[in-house]
Amino acid sequence: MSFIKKHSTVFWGIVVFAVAATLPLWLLTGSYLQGLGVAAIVAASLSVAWNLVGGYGGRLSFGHAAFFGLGGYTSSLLFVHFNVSPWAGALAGMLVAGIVAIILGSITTHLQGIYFTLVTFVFSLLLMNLARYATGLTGGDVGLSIPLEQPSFAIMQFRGQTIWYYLALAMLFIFMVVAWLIVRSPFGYRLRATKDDVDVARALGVKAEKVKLEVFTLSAMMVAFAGTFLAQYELFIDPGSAFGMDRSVEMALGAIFGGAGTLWGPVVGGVAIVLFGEGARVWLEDSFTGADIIVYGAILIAVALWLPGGLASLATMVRDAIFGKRKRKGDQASLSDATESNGGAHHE
Amino acid sequence: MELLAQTLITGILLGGVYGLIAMGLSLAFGVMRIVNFAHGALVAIGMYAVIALYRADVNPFVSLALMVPIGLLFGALLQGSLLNWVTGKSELRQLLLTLGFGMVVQAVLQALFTPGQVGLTGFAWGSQLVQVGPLYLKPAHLVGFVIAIVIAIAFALLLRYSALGRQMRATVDDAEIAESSGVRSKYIYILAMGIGTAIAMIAGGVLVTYRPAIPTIGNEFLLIAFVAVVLGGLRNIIGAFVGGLIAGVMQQLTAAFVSPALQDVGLFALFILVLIFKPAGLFSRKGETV
Repeated sequence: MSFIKKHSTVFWGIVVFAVAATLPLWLLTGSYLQGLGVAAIVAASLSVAWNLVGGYGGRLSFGHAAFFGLGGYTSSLLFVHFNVSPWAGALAGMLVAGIVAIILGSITTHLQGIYFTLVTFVFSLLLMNLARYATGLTGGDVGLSIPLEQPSFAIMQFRGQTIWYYLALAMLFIFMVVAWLIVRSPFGYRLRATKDDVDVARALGVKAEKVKLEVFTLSAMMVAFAGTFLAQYELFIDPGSAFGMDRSVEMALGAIFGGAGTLWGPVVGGVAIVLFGEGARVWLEDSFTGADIIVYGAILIAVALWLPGGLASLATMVRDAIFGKRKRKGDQASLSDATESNGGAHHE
Repeated sequence: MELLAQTLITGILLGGVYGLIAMGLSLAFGVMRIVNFAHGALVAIGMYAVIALYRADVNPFVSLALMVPIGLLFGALLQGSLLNWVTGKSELRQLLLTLGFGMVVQAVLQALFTPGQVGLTGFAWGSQLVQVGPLYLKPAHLVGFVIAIVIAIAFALLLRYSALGRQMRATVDDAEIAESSGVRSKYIYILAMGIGTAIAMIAGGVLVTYRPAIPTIGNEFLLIAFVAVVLGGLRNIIGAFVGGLIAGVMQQLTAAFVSPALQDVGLFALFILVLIFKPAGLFSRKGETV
């Protein structure tokens, strides 16, 4: 019992991943459900990576699709044109995304709030336009099909959904370990200090610019790997799905819906929005298309109105309601209230 | 040389409407401190409203006048029912709310009309090129530009000389001081959102006279409006109109001299450069910082 209390994150992590590993045996039977599982886990992985910048770092990137697309396109182009294994391609994609992130990150460290959001947002769309334009290389709007070969691990192509499911789960596991290690590390403390009050952090000797740049680059490289994964899984990539606004919003929405700046929030949120979106799509398929867009929009509005802390804050609220409010260290709710009351404009 | 002149004139004519859209976005940001990611959706609503009215046999230019009361009402309702919950709250919540509202609008438009292109079928007025000296113009572009200029000037006069305009400018400059000097900010927010929405919907109505609409078209205008507003300085409403003109010219120059497929790339690159090196806008007041 004391082990569980002391290492609750590790304990619950093992439980969650162990249960998730058995899902294909009893719940996710059949390729449709397993495919849905892959989509949900990929969304969760992307949200975990985004959360490093957007949650722990407190900087709302709305252009992470840029790195997702760079990862997907780098490995796909290397495979299609030079027959390079997608595993090597994934590393190359992470390298490309990392370099781009360093360049973009270092010229944007001074931008705060909405200005950073706008630059990242527009940057991903700039890349989308370039990918559309370079038809000779990328196939333009039509997209690029990755040739199906004899499935093997070496070229990251597999028969059936089950192997993809476990590969996705492995990716999520690694991303979670990375996030967990970061949160616990001195770097994690510097990151949160920078988020909470950049001036105080600087006064304490934190090199805020360096911290921002490092976490941005790391997050970009993780997202790039997921880009390669999804391109190989779908054997197809096109500018809209790789660099589009929807991809960026999905990553951010998953993390925020679950609880930005928490370890498990992005996992819960990423899985939840995929399930909600798919549920709405199937349920309303006959009446009209675009039902999943309405659901995404409604979730966004609902979170904005009632649950800015995400589902994670819901858990806290329920606990407070049952056990009475206790003073906790680093209370998320009171922290966000404090930031809000500094907002400036008045409102009754 | 003629190509350059032709490009510039087309860019300015199209840029006028962009400027109009940008003014609405800038107004919402200046007065309420809300970066409205649903602003493009408001333009799209204007386009589809004019299409719907045209199908009911209303002349598009008559519909433009109807956009004023409809837009005022819709914007006021939007502020009163949704946006007031996040006005003055964290940027994150504003972003989520306006983004979500934009997505809902997009999906509703897609369900009501089709996901494909819809235009004013049979309304071809002003789409033929007319030769003026060595240059060619589309009368529809010219009319759109004139409407944009008239509304921009009317709005600038309203801001400059009316009591309401003074209160709005006071709120833009310093919301707290304005409030303490007796400006009822809640009332100003509702009016500002109404005016901004009406302007966006008129711009949509102008646009639909020379180009068809698709449900996702709002995103395109949202981006152009962001670019224009950033060029002009986020809180500079007149600067936003000028920013729109620059955006239009920049787009046409890239299209003519580089490639039409890259017209937005030039615009976005300009946007990123301005945000990074001169984040308070090209016409920022001295000492103003981000």
